[in-house]
Amino acid sequence: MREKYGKEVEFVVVYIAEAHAIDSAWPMLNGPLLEEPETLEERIANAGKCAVGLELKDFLTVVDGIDDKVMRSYQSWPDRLYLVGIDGKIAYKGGKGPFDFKPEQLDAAIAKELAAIEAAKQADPETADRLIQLFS
Amino acid sequence: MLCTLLLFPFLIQDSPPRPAQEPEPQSAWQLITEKYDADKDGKISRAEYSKDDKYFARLDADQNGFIEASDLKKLGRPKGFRGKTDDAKDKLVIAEAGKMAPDFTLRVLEKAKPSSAKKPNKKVGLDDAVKPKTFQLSSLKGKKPVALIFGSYT
Repeated sequence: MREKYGKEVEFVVVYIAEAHAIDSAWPMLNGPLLEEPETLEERIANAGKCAVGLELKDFLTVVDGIDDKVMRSYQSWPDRLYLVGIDGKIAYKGGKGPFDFKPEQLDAAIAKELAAIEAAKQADPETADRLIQLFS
Repeated sequence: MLCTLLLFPFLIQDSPPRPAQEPEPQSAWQLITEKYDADKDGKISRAEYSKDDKYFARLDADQNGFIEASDLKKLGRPKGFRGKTDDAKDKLVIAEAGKMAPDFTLRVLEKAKPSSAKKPNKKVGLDDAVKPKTFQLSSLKGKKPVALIFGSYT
């Protein structure tokens, strides 16, 4: 998906609280073995291991604070997908993962958003010129 | 649980495999003992364990005051949500479809750059917004849609 839309859409991985750290309420011992971080630096270290393990080097990855504020604001534990439109509004709010983690829905939302941007460019050439400059 | 991404490989751009930065522990017990078992007696006392009481209590499954290998075999029973619950106190704005996305500024995970790394194109400016030390969501408003992928390694 990133290859498909990477020039027009910014893909941002937001690294949040562990889903199944070994010392968490739901430990899982058959996947990556990590402890629950107590500091931002520990969470950043976990995010680094994730970036290596899942080969996310081409994604912009940001790390939530240890207060989990962004995670809680986006109700995103243990995982969730969003699309923020060019207007800053939430164009797509996916369901909570893992069962409602639906990349195909995000794909459809991106296609819809880009079509709307294209339509706006057609209707307003002045805006189109500005967008082209920004995207070039 | 970004492991979910493993189920959807098309989310990840093709890239050559990279070696892990350090050897991964082969078991949770290895991870715990290497980090905390200072006297190498095969069990971890509260004094040896540096993290908060709540984590010690979770790992000390039989509640005998020591984390032992047998305790880790008993893990896996849900005991309640680990997250914070003081959303109202923090006056959080909850993200909702059709509403303005709650803005945030977060630390960027910086990656080691090879010495031959291409310098950013200063004429464009957007390159600078893509890889700063912190990232503010609203910095891309009016410029690009943003796909947010929330998750963790576990």
